[in-house]
Amino acid sequence: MSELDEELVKSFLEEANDLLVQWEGLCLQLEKGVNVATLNALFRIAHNIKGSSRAVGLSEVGNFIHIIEDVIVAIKDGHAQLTKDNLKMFFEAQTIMLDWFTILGVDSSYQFWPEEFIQKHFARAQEATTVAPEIQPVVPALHTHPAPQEVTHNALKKEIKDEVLRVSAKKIDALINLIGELSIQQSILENSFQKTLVNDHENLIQSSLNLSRKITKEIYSMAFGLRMTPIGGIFQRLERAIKDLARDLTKEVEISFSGNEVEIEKTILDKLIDPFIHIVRNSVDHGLEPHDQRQALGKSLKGEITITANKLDDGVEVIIKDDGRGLDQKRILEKAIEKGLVASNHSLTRDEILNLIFLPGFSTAEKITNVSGRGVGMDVVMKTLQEINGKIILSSEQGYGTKFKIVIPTSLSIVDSLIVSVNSDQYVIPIHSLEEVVDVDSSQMQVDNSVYIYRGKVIPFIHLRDVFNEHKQPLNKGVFPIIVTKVHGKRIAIGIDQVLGQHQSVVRTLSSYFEKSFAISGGTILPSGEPGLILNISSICEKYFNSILTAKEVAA
Amino acid sequence: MSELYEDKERYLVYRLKDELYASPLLDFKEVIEYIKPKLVPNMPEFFSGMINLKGLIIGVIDLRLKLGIHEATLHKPSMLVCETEAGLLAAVVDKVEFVIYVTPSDIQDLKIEGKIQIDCLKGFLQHQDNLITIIDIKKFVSTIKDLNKDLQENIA
Repeated sequence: MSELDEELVKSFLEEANDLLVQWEGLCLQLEKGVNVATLNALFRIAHNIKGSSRAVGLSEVGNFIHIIEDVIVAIKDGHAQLTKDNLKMFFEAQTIMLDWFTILGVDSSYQFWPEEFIQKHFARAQEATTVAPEIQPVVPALHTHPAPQEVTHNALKKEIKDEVLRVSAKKIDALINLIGELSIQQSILENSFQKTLVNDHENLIQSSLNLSRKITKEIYSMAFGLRMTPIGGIFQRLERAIKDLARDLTKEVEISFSGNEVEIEKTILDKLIDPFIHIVRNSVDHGLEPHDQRQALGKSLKGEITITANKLDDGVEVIIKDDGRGLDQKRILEKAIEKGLVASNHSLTRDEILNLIFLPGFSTAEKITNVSGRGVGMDVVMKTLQEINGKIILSSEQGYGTKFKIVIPTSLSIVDSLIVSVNSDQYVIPIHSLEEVVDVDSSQMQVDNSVYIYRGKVIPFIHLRDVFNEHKQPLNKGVFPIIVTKVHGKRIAIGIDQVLGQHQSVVRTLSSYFEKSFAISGGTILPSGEPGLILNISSICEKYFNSILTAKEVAA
Repeated sequence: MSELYEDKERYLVYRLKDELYASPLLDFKEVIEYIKPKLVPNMPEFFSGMINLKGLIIGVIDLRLKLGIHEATLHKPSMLVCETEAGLLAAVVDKVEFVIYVTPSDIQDLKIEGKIQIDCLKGFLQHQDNLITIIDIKKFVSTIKDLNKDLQENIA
């Protein structure tokens, strides 16, 4: 093989990956009904990939897509029918190419030929379609490489760091304009110190500073805007995941999406894909009943899954809803007791029981399928969401379906937060992690200052000071603020010394040294210029609840 | 650079209480004036906290406490910033002394049981009237991770 031009291959791969996304979309459309325009579009994509891959010297890719293209042409010209097998083959080909291209992105000299795929689909195609004889000669037996891709793939995946974003030129122009304005203000500031040039320099400095502040803020939000991508981009992948699984399980699913245009920061969106896929696969596998059951229940034969994205003031909410059998409260509880996650004499509310599915080591799937029972459970979904400061609210009506409401911040980089003080140190608490801040008197704390009565309900109380110290300290007399928060459906009150104010904190990642402190989720620079820690309220609470669980075990 | 220094390496010499220590100069990114660190809870004692270094938040390790020296120093301490596997870290020392050129063969390799883990101890160097302990600073400061793991396990 001749030397490949890295740059050319790179730009081909970028283009090809986009085309593959379209490919997937078209295949999903074909699944709904065959239509000449869609077939033509699919053909154009195949043709396009073939042409450009050969142009940059990736002849195997060209040969491979050529085989697929022949099938499309045959269907398009009416020589063959679009069968379910064909469609499945198109989907699989897309997956193969995606993986193939990912590796090529790291190592453009990667040699690969999807022999297994060809064997699987084209041995059969020989009997099924009339195009087979034409295909046969194109399949070259040279370049057969005994599938080394598993190993290489995993090793290489880590190396892919730099990602490419598509940004509208308008956004960049606006940003450049703003930076220009800022530099004008800066030169005004610099000149204003030369008193000979300016009369009223104090006023000038003041107004210039004000303007600079405004411009900087705008630049900031715009720069972050560059990373915002519409959530619709992952909807197609969800649709594919649902359809693939439904096909395997011979269930029929009607999917509807809305809110495609809602924007989320790319990093967050990338992290959401896996949890979302997990949730929808769960819905298809465990949620939706099989055909005969649905019929017996008088439900529509097709299961329904709706995915909706809405823009909120401080983030985005995504609702994933199915009309399946819903969560079985009783079974969840039995399972949790069996696994020792809950004591049998529990006093859990309905909500709390449902939320047990998010605990590590919980899986209700009675038979472990290769679908949703792979050891990664809902706890991983929960963990990922917590990492990005998201929340998940679960509701389910037995017999009528399950609803996951996922609330996520639009950006990881700026967090609305409270600055509080504890032991005369300042800490930052993200506002999304708390329900309420209340002033209380120390006399309201009861049972050795460990519980508080919040709206008529007894909830546990801890002081942040005790989270930071190994030994519990006596509570100071007098009024102090507490924050009330809810983790896994359980409320808890956390005492602090003082609320100092609100702040839009720019999140700085901390080096891995800090990972060891469970109470911290990140760092920020406080308005005073000093470094501040962003507290991980949910992990503080989790640690509290876990320590109680262990204490219980010890006692038992 | 003159021929004299050709096969020599530069070491930065710093003081912790009465003793001199040295590490390869290129292991340090920067030497900065002491900034009072802000407390980070639930960390070992020698982890003094964090500082804002040009907009980056970096951890601070007090080398004196790490070696069990608790007495207050007369000097204003200095901070040596180094890039370790776990990110940037500032190490607090009593005083930065000088830079010396060392012929690697002059470093006497001797392993002793002490406060410095054996794998961080690179040997000793006799310089004028002083004995200088050579340590692998990157490794030495990053061992906080392991120590902390023990700490966490103890708590758990």
